Amino acid sequence: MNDKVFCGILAAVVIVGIVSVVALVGYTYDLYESVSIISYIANGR
Amino acid sequence: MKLVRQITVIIVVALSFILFDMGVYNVITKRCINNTSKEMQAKSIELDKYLPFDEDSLIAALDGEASLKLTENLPVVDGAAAIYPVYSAFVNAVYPKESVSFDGTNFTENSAMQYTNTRGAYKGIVDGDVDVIFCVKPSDEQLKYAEENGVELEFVPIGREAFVFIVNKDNPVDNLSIEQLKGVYSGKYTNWSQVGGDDYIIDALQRNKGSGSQSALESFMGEEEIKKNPLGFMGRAIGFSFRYYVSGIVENGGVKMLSLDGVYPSKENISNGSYPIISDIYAVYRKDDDNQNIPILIDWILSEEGQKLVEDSGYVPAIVG
Repeated sequence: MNDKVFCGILAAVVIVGIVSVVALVGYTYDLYESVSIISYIANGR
Repeated sequence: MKLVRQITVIIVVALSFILFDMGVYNVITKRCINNTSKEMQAKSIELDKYLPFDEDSLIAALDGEASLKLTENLPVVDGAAAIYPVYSAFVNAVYPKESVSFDGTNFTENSAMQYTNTRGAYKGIVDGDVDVIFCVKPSDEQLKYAEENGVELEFVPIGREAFVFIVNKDNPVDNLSIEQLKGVYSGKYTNWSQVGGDDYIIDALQRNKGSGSQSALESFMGEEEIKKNPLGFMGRAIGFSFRYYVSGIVENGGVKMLSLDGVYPSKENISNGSYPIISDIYAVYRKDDDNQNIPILIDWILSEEGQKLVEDSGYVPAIVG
């Protein structure tokens, strides 16, 4: 594929990847704020 | 070749993000998923399961009528999540049914029984919103708040409970010494292998400042500073709570309570004093509150009937008959 298309696809993958990381970290933080100690320990190891 | 290289780069970048997300989810996110009801998450207890005057309620009840019945000038009561079933049982025995009003989610403003948990209860008693609260010892900040507002609080022990430390049921550690426990929370011990466990980082969890159990931890640690390991989330957690709250109210089979100095936190070991960390449960009121029914209510709570309700609610009575 030509370089423009390649860069475009790569940029899209990177953007989607960053959005997924930010969304997951945000979701995890929200859960962490409200999780009970007991649930957190039971869910772990 | 160039195309193959380009596709490889795209796939590697995409896979990197996917693997990173999966790693974060498995190590951290999954552990934060609360497997209790929304109300339990919001309030630490399901209020409607322990309501007074409800035939389906899980609260303890006397076999017959209580020897005390209050009809007016009812002290407004409030308290901690772990003690809510206890004071609900008191209200159920002694107060008139129409004195308590619950809208399905919260107690209404004019209800003689309230629930705001430890922090709300200590603030409420100092602000004069409630008359008697049922909690464990206050935090230094809560005492300071009372002092700054010129309020002198009276503390009457009405029951006793074990302050317990909990780990995942699969953690091979079943017992810690007091020295080891303090070392865990002071940062002296950072790996479970140092205290007889497997080679994992110790994640020493804490609760919100001002909550009953956090105040109990601070009291247990005394002058020793409590430290948090920022990398703890990658390891195995240890937390704390009160015995009956863990075993009787939450009942999560995924955790177990630790023995301390070889003594398991059973009711018997609390009664005989052999379990090393026992907290008093207090009825707390303002010294300047002139509601005559406050001492009458507290005297009844300390009577055989009141103490039976404490015991039947899962706690150890303050007064052993």
